[in-house]
Amino acid sequence: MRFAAALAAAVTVSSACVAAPPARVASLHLCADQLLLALADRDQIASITFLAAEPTASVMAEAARGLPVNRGKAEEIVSLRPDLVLAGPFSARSTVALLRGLGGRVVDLPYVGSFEGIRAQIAAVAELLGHPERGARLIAQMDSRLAAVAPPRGARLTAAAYQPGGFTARAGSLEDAAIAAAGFDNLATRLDSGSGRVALETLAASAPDLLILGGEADHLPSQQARLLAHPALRALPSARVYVPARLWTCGGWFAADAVALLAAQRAR
Amino acid sequence: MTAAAAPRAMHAPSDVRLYAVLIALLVVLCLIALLIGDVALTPAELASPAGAIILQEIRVPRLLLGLLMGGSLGLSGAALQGLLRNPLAEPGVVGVSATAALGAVIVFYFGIASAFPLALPLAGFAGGAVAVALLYALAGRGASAVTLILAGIAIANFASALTALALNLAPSPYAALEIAFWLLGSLADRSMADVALIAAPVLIGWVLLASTGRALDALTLGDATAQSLGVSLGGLRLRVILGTALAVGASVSVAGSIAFVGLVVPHLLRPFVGHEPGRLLLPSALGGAALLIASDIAARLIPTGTELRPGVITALIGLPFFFALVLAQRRVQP
Repeated sequence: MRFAAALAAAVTVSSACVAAPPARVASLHLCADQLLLALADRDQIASITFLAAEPTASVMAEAARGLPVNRGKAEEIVSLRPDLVLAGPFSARSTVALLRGLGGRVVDLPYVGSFEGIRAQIAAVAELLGHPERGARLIAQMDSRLAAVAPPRGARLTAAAYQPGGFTARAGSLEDAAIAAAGFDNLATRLDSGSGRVALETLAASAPDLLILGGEADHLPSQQARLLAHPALRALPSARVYVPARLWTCGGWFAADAVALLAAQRAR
Repeated sequence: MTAAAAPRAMHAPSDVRLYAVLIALLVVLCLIALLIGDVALTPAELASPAGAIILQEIRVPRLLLGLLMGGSLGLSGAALQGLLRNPLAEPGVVGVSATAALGAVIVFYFGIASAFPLALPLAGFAGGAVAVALLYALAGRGASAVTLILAGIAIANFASALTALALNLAPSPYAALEIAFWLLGSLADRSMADVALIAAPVLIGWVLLASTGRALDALTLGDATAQSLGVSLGGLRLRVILGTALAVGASVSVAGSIAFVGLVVPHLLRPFVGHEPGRLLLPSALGGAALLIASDIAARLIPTGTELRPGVITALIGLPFFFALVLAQRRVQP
């Protein structure tokens, strides 16, 4: 969050110096793609990643159709001669350094693990693109969605996200923030020994009220995904909810939809 | 060794004592394996609903798989060493485990096993059978240790490379990271479905391997003498190959490959059975199960972020034995 706030400040200063908003913007990262598609004019977009058009990964797949795509390689970007390149937390550092070395303007969008961070990042990118009013509208939309499902005060139910290999929503992640915003106590932050994983035995012994599932590759055969079909997991009395990974892999307004899916389970 | 064709001295006092010690050890290890885990549960807590799930669905299948796999590794190690007359022969060293893993990887990651579960142990069996047959063709029986190891290394490395290739081509994004499971094994978080899937092929493999005792004893006298004693060499080979491929192949198909158990256990027990390969078979099965269960207990007790693989422990235990055997061989065959 602090990163995003600092970025917002930096962006405000730099956009004051740069007179006109960028005319050609390229994105190297799925999370930047989705913000770009939501906030920029269509002719402002020079390139997005191929993942942006993937419906399982991106909430903006519809809007991404027909736009030029890249696979995050420096060569593809340089030939487009963009005014601005947006990179993300998992973009190859070597690619970012190379593009900067060639004199391009590259803005890194850090990982956001909170709704405060999402607001700051949307506002920063909207400002950067010269459309601050669109950013404000998107934030207001997210906030009203969150307010509609805000949890009542009182005792909280427990929830645990469980992914292939026993990976879970660790403290400080967006998943953790969404679970809290939906009014659940994230069991994983108590059970996780620091590896980001919770053992099957530990989960079975703690029996959360709600079990959160829903990765995109969970149905493809792998040893790690097999864990989700384990009889011990099936025997748990917990309620189950599927939250598509695209809703909270990236910090965006759509994370409110993940909160709404979880909040709907409170009533049960 | 003149007693080769005589009725087996299975009930000799020393054997009874050996069996008693091995079974007692195994029972103690089984109890420990049921009592330890990620969650500390007292025997009383194991009776609670959550405790019962943990015990019945997680710890018991893990223990049963350990018994099936450990027994298979020990028994097939003893049988291979008898057949090839080479103390270095072992399912891991000769490449059976690696080829079984390759077969299992192909049917598991490309969805064949989800449609037809029995394909998994069958593919492990097919992979294992190819390795033993190849080894026999390449090195033959009574081959020098060097020839055997070279053939085994060639088969195992080739199979491991193809396994890595298959994992990279698999549709699941998790697949490429799962090579460690296939190379070092794991009994963690298996289920009763896995046990049920491999029980029949493993037990048939055990019966085949256990039936080779008298023929293996006769073989120590040489091929010609063995044949004069009524041993069919072709039949013996076939039983060891099929038995090893069934027992080890099926085990590897659900738990990955775990090396050195089949090497260490027969080596440790050989002095107690008068160096007779036939008398070595069943104690090796018990000892193999005990060693694998003990390694799996150690894997759970040693505090590492991600659970240690049992194959790491067996390799740490097995390597000194392997070196000792290599040095002993050098002394015999300079």
